[in-house]
Amino acid sequence: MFAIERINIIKDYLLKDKHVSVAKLSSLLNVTEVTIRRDLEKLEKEGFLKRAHGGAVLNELLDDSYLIEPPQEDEHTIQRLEIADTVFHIISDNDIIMLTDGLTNQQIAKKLTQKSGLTVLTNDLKIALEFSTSPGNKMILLGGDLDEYAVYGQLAINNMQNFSLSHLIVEVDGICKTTGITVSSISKASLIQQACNMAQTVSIVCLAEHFGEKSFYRVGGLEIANKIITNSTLKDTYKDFLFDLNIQLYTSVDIYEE
Amino acid sequence: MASKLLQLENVNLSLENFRLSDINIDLYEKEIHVVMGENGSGKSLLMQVISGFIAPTSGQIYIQGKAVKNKAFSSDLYDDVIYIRQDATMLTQLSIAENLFFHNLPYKNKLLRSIDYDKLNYMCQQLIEELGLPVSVFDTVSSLGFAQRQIIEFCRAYISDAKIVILDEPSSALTPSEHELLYKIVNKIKARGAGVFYITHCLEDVSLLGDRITIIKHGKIMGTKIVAECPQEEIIRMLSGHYIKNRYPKIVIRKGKNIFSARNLSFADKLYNINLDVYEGGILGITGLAGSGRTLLANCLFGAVDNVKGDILINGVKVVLDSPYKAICNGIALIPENRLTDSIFGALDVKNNVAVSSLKRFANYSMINTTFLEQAVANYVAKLNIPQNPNNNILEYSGGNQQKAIFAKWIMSRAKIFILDEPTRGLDVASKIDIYNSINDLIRKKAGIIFISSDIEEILGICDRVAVLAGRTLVCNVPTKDISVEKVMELSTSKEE
Repeated sequence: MFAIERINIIKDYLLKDKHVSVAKLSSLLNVTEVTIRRDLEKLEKEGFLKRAHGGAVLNELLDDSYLIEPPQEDEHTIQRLEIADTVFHIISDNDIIMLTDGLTNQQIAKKLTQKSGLTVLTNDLKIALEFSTSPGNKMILLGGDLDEYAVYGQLAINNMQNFSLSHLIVEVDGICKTTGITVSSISKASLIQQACNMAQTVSIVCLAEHFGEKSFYRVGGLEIANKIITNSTLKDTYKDFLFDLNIQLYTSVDIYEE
Repeated sequence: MASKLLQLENVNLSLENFRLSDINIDLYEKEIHVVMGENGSGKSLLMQVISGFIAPTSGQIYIQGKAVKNKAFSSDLYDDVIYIRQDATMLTQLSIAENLFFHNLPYKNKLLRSIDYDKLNYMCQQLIEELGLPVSVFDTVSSLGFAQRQIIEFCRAYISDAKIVILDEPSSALTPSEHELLYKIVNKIKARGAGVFYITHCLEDVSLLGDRITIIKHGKIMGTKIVAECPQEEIIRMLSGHYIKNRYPKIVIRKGKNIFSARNLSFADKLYNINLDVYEGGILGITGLAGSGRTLLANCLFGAVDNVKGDILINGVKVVLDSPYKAICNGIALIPENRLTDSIFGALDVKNNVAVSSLKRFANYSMINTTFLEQAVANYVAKLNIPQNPNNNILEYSGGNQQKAIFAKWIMSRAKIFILDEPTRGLDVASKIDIYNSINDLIRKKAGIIFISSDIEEILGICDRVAVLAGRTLVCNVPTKDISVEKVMELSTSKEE
């Protein structure tokens, strides 16, 4: 049995019984006690359990929801990380890209700092901050009217027109068969529309659960997208629909283990 | 002008995973109408509609100007159409004469139905002499080779009264001299006043035989041309059609070390001097026409065929793969072309089909810990979006979900080298996309892939390199970005020299 399978089983066991002994797990899983101790250590680091003499107890301080995903202000962190991992592989070193503002794009930015030679344009302050510690890549932050953590407006658009992009990565709030691509503010919509005109490739990033939803401001039809990146839980009807539109659809499958 | 034998008007047919849309095609007397298209483009399906095996969903078929009722096995079509399939269906224990005249036996006494064998054999002898067939009247069909059986089938089309003759890839398995014979028979069928639909992949057939040519692609007719007025390049261009490369979700992976190679692989007279390399994070596409040996090659690489000559290297070390078990132990996985017969266990449920290659990990003194096994399997099943109902028999699932379960099986067993033989053929679009993205997941984590497909667009869209199997060997092996659909098509139709 592989470590990940074993760890899932230990978790399930602890959730049910609250405590377990090393000897018990060792005989259950048919591996040595050393292996079990190593697994428990790992789980302790994650904060899932506390090791006690000869075994472990469930970390009762945590409520159940924690056990599925770590507590964050944002409930979709795992999905965003998955998407970031996929986007990482469609961007080549030395690309000139733009990341629009958004929580998923922030995760993408974090991941992209591992690349080198990128030139990244953004209107999101947090994304800019990620790249500030990545000397191998060049970061250009647009100027404009600040709204929370991002800049918009005519100033930002004028600013953007000095650049030519090979790849634009847009995070949107809704993708719908009838209304197309939508976002939550008009200033964001117009910024994205402008950026699309300047990019060779347009990739749209959207969480799977936002498919079928509509936000108020329309960016455009789906045909502006060359690629769409989302989670593997996307509904089948959208897969059919997008493939027929000749859009490359990436779903972040994470199943294989090296 | 010759009269019109058959006309299809706006014929549509919707099946679960495939559709024929807006088919308009006609056939005249004394005409050879060639039908070309990739595998899975709907040629054979269209012929099944014409021969009345399947009724169209909508549209109208006319035979000699008379409308035919839209129903399966329509008697209107029965006498007028003869359909010779690729897989010859003959009565193997009977003689050639009996097979040929089966629907038209001469009787000594009509009431008693006693067969006049002298007359039968005489008729058959006449035919054999007329066509110069290399067989004797008294041979039983079981003693004939595959190609000879096909020739007999063509003769059956010749002697029948059917006005419309359909030959489905008649030339694919024939030697040059048999080819000659085929042309002779087809021309005789034409001469007796029938119209012929001739399905082929071979461009040579088109120029030597065809009067008109129709190209079909993704269930739609791309165009019909008169052969004499249509240069070969035009046909190739029509075959490849307007192709769209960018709808396949391809990712960029830096390739790692060589994990799998074949050197000078040969098998009997089917495969010769095959060399290929698979790298970590790389996808090697292999395409070729039906019958070019793609599936055989896949089986050779998986150790499922005996007496394969040449070497297979894994991580640069020579290994002997004399059984699939050895291959699996070496981290090789095969997803075979024929799901139903070669890769699923029909009697088992989805869960067990997924688990079957990984049981060892869950065994403790030859007892399987089913609780843990189920937990682990459920995880894989959920991640691949296979509907949650793990106790159902796998045969009740759709083709797409079956294929995903097979994928899950090898992913769970942690194979490193995946040989995928037509992994997406006949699947619904959603499952195809799931499979493409799962492949991305594999290569991202350093697996190596051999992707065999007859859909050239798909190959060029997904793979890093493409190799074409034609004339028993790989005739090219180039990066997909350096080659066009037209070029691949041309290479795969080239004959061995």
